Amino acid sequence: MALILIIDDDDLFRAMLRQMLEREGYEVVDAPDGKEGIRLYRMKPTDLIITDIIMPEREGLETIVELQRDFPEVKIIAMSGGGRVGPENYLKIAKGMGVQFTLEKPFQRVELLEAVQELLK
Amino acid sequence: MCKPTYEELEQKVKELEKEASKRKQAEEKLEQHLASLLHYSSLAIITLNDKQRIISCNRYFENLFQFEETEILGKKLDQVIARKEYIKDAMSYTKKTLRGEAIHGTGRRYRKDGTLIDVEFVGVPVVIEGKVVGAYGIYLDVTARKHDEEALRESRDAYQTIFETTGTAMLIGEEDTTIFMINKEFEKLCGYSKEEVEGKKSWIEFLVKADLERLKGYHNVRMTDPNAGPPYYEFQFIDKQGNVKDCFITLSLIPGTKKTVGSLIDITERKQAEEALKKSEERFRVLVEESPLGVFLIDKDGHYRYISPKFIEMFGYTRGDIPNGRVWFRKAYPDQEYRDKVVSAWMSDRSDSEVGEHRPRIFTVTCKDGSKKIIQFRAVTMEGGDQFVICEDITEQQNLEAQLIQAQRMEAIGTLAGGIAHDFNNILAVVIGYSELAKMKVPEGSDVISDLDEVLKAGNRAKNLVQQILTFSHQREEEKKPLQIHFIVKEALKLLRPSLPATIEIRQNITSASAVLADPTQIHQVMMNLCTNAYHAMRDTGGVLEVSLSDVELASDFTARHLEIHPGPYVKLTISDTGHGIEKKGIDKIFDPYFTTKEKGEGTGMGLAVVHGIVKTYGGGITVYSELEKGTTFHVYLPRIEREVTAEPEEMIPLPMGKEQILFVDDEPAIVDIGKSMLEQMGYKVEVRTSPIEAHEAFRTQPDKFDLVITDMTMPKVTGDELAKELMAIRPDIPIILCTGFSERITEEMAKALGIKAFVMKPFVIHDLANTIRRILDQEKEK
Repeated sequence: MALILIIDDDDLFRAMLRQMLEREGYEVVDAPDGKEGIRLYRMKPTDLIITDIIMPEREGLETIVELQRDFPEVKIIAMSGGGRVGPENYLKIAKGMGVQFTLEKPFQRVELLEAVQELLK
Repeated sequence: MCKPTYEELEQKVKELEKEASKRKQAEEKLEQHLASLLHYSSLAIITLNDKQRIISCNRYFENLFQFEETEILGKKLDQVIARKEYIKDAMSYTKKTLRGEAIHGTGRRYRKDGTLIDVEFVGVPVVIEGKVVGAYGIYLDVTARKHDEEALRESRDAYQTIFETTGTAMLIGEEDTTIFMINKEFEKLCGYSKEEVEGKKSWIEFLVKADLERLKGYHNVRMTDPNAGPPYYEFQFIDKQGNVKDCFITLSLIPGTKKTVGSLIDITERKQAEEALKKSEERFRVLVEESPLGVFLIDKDGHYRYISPKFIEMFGYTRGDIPNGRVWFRKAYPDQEYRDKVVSAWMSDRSDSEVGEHRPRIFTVTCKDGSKKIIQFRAVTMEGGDQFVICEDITEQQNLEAQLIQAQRMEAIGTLAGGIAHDFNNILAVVIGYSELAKMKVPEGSDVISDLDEVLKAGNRAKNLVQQILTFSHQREEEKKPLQIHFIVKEALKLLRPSLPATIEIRQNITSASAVLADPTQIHQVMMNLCTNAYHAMRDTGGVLEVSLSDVELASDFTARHLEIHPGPYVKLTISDTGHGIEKKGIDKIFDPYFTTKEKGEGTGMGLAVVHGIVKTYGGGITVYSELEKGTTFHVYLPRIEREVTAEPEEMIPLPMGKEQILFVDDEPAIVDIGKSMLEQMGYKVEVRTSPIEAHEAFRTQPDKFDLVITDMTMPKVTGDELAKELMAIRPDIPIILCTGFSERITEEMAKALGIKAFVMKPFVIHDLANTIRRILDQEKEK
């Protein structure tokens, strides 16, 4: 079964995502920030990365840039609850950078699963 | 000759004796005459013998000196009239006379009662046969004359003193205008000495030309009639140095002469002071009357002494309307309770304020036309108890202050709201996510599922709310484009119509097709929010929902009253209902988030806050008028873009045309139809697809058939940019135009990053579309 890396600084949210995905039978690893996420990915590349944007240590956009540079085939879903400029803006940038999918927090479980399924096809 | 005879001699003697007797008789007669002449003369005459003894006096002497002849006979003069201090003087005269000299002198002599009289006297010696035998003393009484002379001299001295010391410059002029006499003050005034003026100069030499004829005229009149001509007047005087002095002259003729006496006062300084005072008064008058402040002066008894025109303009009350303070209070403050408050504040200020002290007070005054104004009064108590009151209309200032506070509050709320939105979204993500997970963990048919559904519903409501908060706080990035909002307004009304009950009539009055810089979604939101509110206000009663759109020019007098708007061209959207209206106390708060007049559960209270946020971002403004039971009207002002208005009508400009082959992709059949017909009008050959997958297929089979692809952004399964990527993978040089709708936002940089040549906004504006297509195709040809 596919392996998915979750990067989000919110422990509760990370745990929830993990549950949702594991319920569908995916294998999950997670990291609380971009730095740890990249470290994990370098150790063992996953089939898909789901990452938050606003995080401590290394934020999401930077993480995406680094991953795409070093692993051109990487598949990424970016998600955000927004900041001062509203969620859709960061996500638009992420999309412009070439991530495969974006999700505005909060999202429905089905939206997430559709995106994951689409990308892991 | 023969010797006379005795008889002859005797005869001769007789004749001689006879003749002698005759002569003696004659002499005696003469002597008698002389004596009586002396006796009755009006000169006092006295005869002394050679021993200085009085031997006779005449009657006039008796009368003058009040002595009887009998009582002075044999006495010397020093015992009679030359007593005491006059003894020596009289003796020397007497001795001289008795020595044979005639003397003449003046002096004073005593009367019997001791009083003195002034006399002029003559002493004449009596000489018989060459021998002085006595003397005559003859006295003339000059007391009266002396007295007259004295009086005259005194009088002259007095007038001379007066003439010199009146303190005014004085002159006496002759009939021919020559100056006869001047005083010291006149010397000072004219700069010449008496000697240079008196008898030498004419007063005409001291006149300015302008006064010459007038003063000569007065003079001539006075010469013919002393009572004619003005007794005083002002004129201008030139002194020796050529200085012009303003003078005031009083004049009259000396009775019985043609001499004129004039008294001049130099009033130059007074004139200058008067002039300065007049100017100063004029300045203050202008200051008071032209200032935007109303001013009045009220005396101790409450009577108005002065009311400035601005005061009348400010309140509409004329002087007649408010004869005194009591009437003013009654009219300006018709509410008894409020009036009592004002009067007592006024009275207490009045009684304990010091002279010159200011006591600003703010009261709401009812004007003559019934309108109310907020006025700041500054009363200054003057010397003598009068009060000088300055009134400033601060109604607008206060309104603006209130608006400013309102704007600041909205800003603060917005910042706060925007700040929490991010965290809130994250929290909601957890809530919604776990609820969904939980739902999956409970057995089917469990009550918990419906509970969790409620949680999810609430979570989704919260999600929408966060979106609205972000809009309100301008933190959603919006893509402002020139937009003819009448399209959106009409579309929103079309949407609304089926959902409104038949009891609500919709009237639309759209006269503007001008453009504003706006985001169509947001304009739609403004329309929907305002119309929904109107609907709610009329839901029970029915009524009329009226929507108007027009072009207006806002002048500074309007914008000055509305903090957020600048003067200029605007599109005015008016939405009014005939519903229940908003209470006065609530109207200040209607734009606050969470303010609502609706029943619980009917609205979030975010609608107007969102509208306000949108309008403000556009540099526009929104005003509201409401009356209970009559209805509410909202005016939304959005800045109009003039260049769009000045552009020529569309049909006048020929559309750029072409014959190239275009692939047009949109998931909405209606749009595809419109797009196709537009493109065909421009001469292009068009193929359309309503799904990206079909489009992909069509392109893959004949990639070189198409010169250009136009694709919608939002489509199911595959978005426009994804389709673009795939098509470019097949044929990298294919030019692609992306169409973005209401909700998608994509910047030029992003589009370029994707390799997309251009993007156009929906709804299509045919000119934009035609221009963009032509530009892209021509670029490709040049390559």
